Amino acid sequence: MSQVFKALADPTRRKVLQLLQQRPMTAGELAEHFDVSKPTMSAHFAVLVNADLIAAEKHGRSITYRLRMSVLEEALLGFADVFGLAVTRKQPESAVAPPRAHHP
Amino acid sequence: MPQSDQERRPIRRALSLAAAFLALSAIANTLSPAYLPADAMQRLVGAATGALATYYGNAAAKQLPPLGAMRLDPVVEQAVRRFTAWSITLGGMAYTLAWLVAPQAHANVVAATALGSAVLLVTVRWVSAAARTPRTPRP
Repeated sequence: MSQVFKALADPTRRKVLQLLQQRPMTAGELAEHFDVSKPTMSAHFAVLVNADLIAAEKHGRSITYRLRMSVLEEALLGFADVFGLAVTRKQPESAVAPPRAHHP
Repeated sequence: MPQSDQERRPIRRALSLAAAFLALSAIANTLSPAYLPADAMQRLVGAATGALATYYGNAAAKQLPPLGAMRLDPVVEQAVRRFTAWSITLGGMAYTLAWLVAPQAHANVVAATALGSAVLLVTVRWVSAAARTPRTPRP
């Protein structure tokens, strides 16, 4: 359970979970929503996978992430987002950026 | 094929829960009516049933079929699975609450209506999702 709290304490990881609540996404699709480096995103994904909040499935060269949260964990995510968690580390505003525009 | 320890864990957990539930019923039956009034026993078993439904509803969201084995669109499957988990969890909580606080004469009806409605909603959602899925032969 401490892994779940650790995972939910970070706003970037909470945003990843909220994006995955809409639909399963590849690592690339998720990374487009954040202005952070690939290794940092991979580290966030690893924490979420370790906490068993998301599942990763490899298809060819891409990895698809899917939500794997129980109802209790989803409720905790909601609480963490509304009230914040005591262990929340303040993250610079630049860490979570709006999705980049796609240029054909 | 022999299963791994991780694959056997849900089966072991389900069997343990079933055994605990049977033990609770047997203990309550033994204690009733000398040490436990009949209505209290009924409430206890009813609340335990609701707690069991809540437990399984909560865990249902974590049961992911492999993407390749899915018949539904993964987006639809995820939405329906989350709806199922939330409905059964809330229905189970309402079932437990009904047995704990509703008047004895109405507890059964209120509890059954709460959980039954949740099961009905879930069934309708799965059937409608399946009906909207085009029937294409899987490779």
